[in-house]
Amino acid sequence: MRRNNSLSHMLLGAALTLGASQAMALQELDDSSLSDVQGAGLAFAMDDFSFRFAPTSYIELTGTQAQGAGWERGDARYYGLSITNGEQIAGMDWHGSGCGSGGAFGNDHLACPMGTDNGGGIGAFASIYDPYVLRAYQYEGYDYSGAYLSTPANMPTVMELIGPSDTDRWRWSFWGELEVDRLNNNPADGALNNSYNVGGADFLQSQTIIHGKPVTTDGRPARLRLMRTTGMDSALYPWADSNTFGITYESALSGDFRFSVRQKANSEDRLHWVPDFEDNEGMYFKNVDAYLPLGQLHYQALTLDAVRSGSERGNFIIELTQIPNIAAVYEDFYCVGPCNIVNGEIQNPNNDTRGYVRWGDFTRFDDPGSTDGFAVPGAQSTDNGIYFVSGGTGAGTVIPDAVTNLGISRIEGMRINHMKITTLGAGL
Amino acid sequence: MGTVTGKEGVLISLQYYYNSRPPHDVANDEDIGSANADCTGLASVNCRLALQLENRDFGWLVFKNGHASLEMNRLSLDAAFLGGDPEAENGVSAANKLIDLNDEKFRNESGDCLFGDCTKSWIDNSPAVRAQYPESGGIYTAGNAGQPGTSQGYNDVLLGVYVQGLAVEYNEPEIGETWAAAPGWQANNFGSFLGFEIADNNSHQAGIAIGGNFYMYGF
Repeated sequence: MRRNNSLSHMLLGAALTLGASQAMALQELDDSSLSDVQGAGLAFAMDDFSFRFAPTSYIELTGTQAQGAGWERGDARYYGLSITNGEQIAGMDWHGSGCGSGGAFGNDHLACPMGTDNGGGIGAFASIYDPYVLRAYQYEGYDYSGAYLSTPANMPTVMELIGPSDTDRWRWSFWGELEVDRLNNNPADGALNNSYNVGGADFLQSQTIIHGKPVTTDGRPARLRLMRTTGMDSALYPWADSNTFGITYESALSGDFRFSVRQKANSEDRLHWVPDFEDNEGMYFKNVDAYLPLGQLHYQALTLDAVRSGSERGNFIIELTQIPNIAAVYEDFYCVGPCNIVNGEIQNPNNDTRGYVRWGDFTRFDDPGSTDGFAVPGAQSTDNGIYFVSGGTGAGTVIPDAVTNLGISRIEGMRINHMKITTLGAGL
Repeated sequence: MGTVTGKEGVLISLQYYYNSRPPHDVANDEDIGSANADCTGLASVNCRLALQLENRDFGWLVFKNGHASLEMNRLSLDAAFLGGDPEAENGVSAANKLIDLNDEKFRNESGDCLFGDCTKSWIDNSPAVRAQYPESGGIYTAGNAGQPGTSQGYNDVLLGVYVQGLAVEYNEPEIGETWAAAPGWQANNFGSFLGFEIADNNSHQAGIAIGGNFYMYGF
């Protein structure tokens, strides 16, 4: 006999909406089976998942008329956004052809923008054992005024979406088109990639392929939290009550990356035409590991605002608010518990606030005796670090020695005390 | 009612048109999802969507001259047991079950388990709502001179979005300005800082193929 005592209220609602005659295989559901449901969270698992925009379908950001000499209007299109299988090498390009995934230049999973194994589906996009979870939750922490909130009555409630801590590898890809000076172009004429042709459009077409997981190498998931901010009062902000809608986001990503522009010799090189990209050329990043925390509960959040006076009104502001100038809050931001500083160095750093981006695996750099990870790359290595593969000079073939590896690189300890982005195109 | 078995899933299709023209309103398919006649420019008051957040009541973020359309075709909804047989019980694939259990996800702030005993076997035997699209994709056909290529078969979701401009509009003018006070969502004093569109080269709707099984369960 199956246990049915874990259905959510949502599931019950969905079943009722479908009507009695279409209640599917829920015949074992009864009132008592719902008695244990707490309503605390919803879980979402995805199995054999794939998502593909048509190669001719796009998301476009349109610019405005450029203001002032030396500026051109730019319009960016992102075509064919795809999330497909990355566990197997087999794949296809935007034209539906297989591509050269022979492993040349370390491009095993980066030659083709879309995986074809398993019908393109990702077996464990989100496992039933480690699903996406949407829940309301309460966390202890300092608010904007420096008050430490720790009781159920005063802890702010946040809505959070937590990603999986482990998944199968995906391919995440799109091809892009940047069109310059649209109003003076005749897009029907087309032109060579990024080169001027009288009467035609100026544009650059590119391909971006990411092969990896939406988690860090050490298993940090991505997290999105939405909340009403707490403690933004007149002592800190110029408005009596400034609490507003707040967002925190922890970005996590690990894997390999390739950005390329070269097209095959027979590819139609025209604006809005789907290119046939060369399989090897491009800029590669191997063994990338990135974690970027934007906002900290409950004293820093992404907030939305507008320019409130003056000539730049009409414009929109996204702000990662500044850390309140309160000693206890700063201590929490930098340290776990009271800061233990020896010779000017924090001994107990708060790693939840430290972002990092590592372009390459550093295991053997940090520990030369280790056999884990990857070796520090040489000038022509293709298994680690940042490298370029040239597009050659003939009909799309690449000469074997055209690899230039720049080595590995990393940024550690990236904390953001304040960040503010203001648009400037409105009201001109 | 004697023939109703109560065990079948349902197929759902959905169409939604927002300031845009549905199939019965146009002469040919290429115009599906195009703008209504009164959506002509940034000032078109009937084609707007405006947002205002708490403690930002001096004005509105206005999406100007916007229209959208959404078609979802043949989404299959059924019940499932998460770890059950993939055929008989609509359970997940073997690959999906290779991931380690992360039981923290199913616990409350005090660490109490909210989902049975927080074990794999409990999850395996738990029921869920399953939405499914078969794995599918489309093909691309190259174009001819003057005619960009076309895509076929990306029909699980058709999505069109167009917003000519975005700007913040204010309820009150500053001293010296000539425009009259009015709710910001009606105004068009500040142009646009950004526009965006989701479409296809050959139509007003992007074609999207989605594959896989989606399970929703709760605790």
